Amino acid sequence: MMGKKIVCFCEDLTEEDILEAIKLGYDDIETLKRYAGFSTGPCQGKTCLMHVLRLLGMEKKLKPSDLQLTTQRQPIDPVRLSVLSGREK
Amino acid sequence: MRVIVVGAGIMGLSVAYNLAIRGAEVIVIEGRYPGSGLSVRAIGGVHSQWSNEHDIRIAKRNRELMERLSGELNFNIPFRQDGYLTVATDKEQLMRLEEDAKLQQSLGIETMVLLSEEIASRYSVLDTSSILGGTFSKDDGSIHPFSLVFGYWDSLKEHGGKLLRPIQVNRLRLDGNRLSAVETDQGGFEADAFVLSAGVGTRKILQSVGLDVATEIMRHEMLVTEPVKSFLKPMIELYPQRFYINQSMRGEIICHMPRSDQKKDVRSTLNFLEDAAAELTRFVPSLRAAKVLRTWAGLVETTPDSEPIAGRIGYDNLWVALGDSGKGIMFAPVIGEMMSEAVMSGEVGADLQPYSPTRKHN
Repeated sequence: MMGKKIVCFCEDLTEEDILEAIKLGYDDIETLKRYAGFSTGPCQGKTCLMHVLRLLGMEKKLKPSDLQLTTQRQPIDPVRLSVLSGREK
Repeated sequence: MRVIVVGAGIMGLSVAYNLAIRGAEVIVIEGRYPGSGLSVRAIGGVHSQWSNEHDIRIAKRNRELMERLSGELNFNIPFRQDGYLTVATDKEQLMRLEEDAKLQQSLGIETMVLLSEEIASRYSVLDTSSILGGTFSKDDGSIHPFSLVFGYWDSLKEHGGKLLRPIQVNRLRLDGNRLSAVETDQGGFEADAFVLSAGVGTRKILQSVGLDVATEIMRHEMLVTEPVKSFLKPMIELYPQRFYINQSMRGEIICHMPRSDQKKDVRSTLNFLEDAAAELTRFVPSLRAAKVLRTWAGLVETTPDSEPIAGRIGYDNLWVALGDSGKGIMFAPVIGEMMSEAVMSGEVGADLQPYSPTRKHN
């Protein structure tokens, strides 16, 4: 059996999962993200996004400059609700 | 019959799918990506706890549709019916909820009125000290918005419909007293009928042929935490429409608040993060240790009477669906059904009339 190539550890997605989603027509980065689920786990894309962009670029024959990033959102790292609410104790 | 639908949000895709299964040739034109306006920003609450008969009947029909949507679209659309709890923190709110519950019950919705002690004993994770009571409908809950978008899109393709993206619609083209085409950055698209459901972009397109509707933009902000063990079954709304909490199927806590500031963009604010964290940790104290992963915002179009706009406007072959006032996901399956029937037959059914673009707002 061939080894699996994991692209997204948070959501347990392989390279095959991503390629399959692109073939089904989820072939822009925002749609692909929401269909496949990478970039939505605890890492928020820090591990997976570049892998997926590489796959999408190869499949769609796009230049790196034509690839778009998903919108990056705050917070940069996960923050406890108690800190944000001022009830940290 | 060829129909152009402008905007691939949940509303546009539901109309498009329903047109396609009724035999129309459908082309959906989308400016960015499917769901990109508000649909994929929503948290997906679905309930029938409304204050007027028409909304309650629509919600009931919608629930029936959502219960069989995965099968109908042949697409996995998680619809969780773990209940919907609306809570009141003052007497006036509670009286209003009790009154609404009577109307809902008379129309066959199973709404229960719960006192504070009953809420406390049912949901021990909630701090009920500020809660007077609430209403609970056990068959309501939440639906997964992304799956709803993709399910309609997938099924639209199965039925021969097309979704073209990204294409910018500039204006409508008139030919006598009928619309003949939409003009886009990739040329004109001709059709027999046109449905505009482009969210906040819709009015600009209407204005190109001298039409308009009354809507305002309300900014909402959302946050999501890391997944935690499933412990919060119903979707919870702190009445009146102030704060919504839902635990997703993979355990994330998602919450959502309308913001009364005058900002009109979708950037997140620290103010929201602090307000939401304060409410969440006050109401569900055990969430203090949960970590926020992400925040985002969305622009909701509201109408003066908080009812969606869906119907014919200005010309025989021009239709709009917008201004859903936060009811978009909840009502899209039904509005899609009603609108497609109206577009195909040219006749506006009685159930669609209350959403007429030319109705008198209250």
